[in-house]
Amino acid sequence: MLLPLIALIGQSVAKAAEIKEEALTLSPSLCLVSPDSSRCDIQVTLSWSTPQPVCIELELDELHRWCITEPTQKSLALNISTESDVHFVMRDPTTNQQLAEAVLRVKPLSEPQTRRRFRNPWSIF
Amino acid sequence: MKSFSALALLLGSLFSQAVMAAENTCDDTTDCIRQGSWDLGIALGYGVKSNPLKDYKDIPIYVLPTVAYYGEKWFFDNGALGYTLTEQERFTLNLVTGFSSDRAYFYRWDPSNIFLAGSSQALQQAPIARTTWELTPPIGPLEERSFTYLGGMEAYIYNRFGTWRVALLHDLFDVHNGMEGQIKWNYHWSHQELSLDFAAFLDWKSQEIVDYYYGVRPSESAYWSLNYQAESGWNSGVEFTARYHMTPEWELLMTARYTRFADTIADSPLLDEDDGYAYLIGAAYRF
Repeated sequence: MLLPLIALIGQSVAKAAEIKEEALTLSPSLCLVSPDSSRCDIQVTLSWSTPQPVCIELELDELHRWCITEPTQKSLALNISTESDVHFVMRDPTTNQQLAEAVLRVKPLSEPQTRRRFRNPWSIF
Repeated sequence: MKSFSALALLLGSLFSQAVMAAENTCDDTTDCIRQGSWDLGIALGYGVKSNPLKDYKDIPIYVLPTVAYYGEKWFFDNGALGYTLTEQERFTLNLVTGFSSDRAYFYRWDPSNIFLAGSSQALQQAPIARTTWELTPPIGPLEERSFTYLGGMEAYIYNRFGTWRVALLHDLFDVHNGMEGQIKWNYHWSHQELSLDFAAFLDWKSQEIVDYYYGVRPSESAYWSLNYQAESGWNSGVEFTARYHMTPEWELLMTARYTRFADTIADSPLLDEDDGYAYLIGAAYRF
């Protein structure tokens, strides 16, 4: 009864290790935007270490896909213009299986909110 | 009563426009505060708040604290609790409460005096001078003047000539059932590290307030209780505050206020001054 469960756990651990090995690194992974301009315009670099060819996909208005066939190429630089988070997915070009993913987070740079002060702080009653 | 009607009309017309949401309208023509965090500070120096009451001593000032918190709508500012109904580029309308300033002359630890830290014996009544007995009948120990809180509405109007404040407040605790109207003009000017505030004000006090604080009770003096009749009246005065910011935390401070009491208050036999002043010169630290 326990054997299938142990086997499943074993497979999960192995898969996790495999994904970690083929991790997709995004730099930078955070884009801060000013309150008056909510759009993020940034160049990001995706890096990976997997030996096989890969395809990089991203959903930005429409689906974009870059397939890297040169085995020595282990990174890809992209210019991104977005108002929301962008998900990058690395796939095996032959099986289309997802190998890894990375996310570019877009966050507003919040300035301290101030308001009028109605009383003189040093008023003598 | 005409004064009250005019203030009520002005506040009412402003309230009818109070439909838009608050927006960030702080600029360099007013003092600004960070929303959602406490502003704590303490000024150390030397100053005096005069006491116009006969035989009462002036109040020395060595410490002047400031405590304020402004949320999105609610605010607490040195004893005044308020709620902003609307804040626009040109005006603000608040529901507001605050201490009555008159009781502070009678009691050292009146809440209005909490923000003035001086000698605890400052208001101790000295023996009544007897040299004037024959001309002015003496007044015995004063009865209690109870603490109360005033509440009402205030409006701020902003333009290039400064900030106007109009407020109408009523006794909230049924102590004297009086009303107070306040009109104040303030001009804020800042350049680099220096900021200056000039202000002129008119405070209208109803007959109930004047009578409660400055009227004479029969137990205090049978003669004066019959011969002094309180009426409503206008106090007037000016204020000046200068600040020089040495660092983000430290600033040099000079603040002064002069008040000319309404004739009906100055005529009270409890007073021997028809005006009052307060000032402080020192350094302030903001936490």
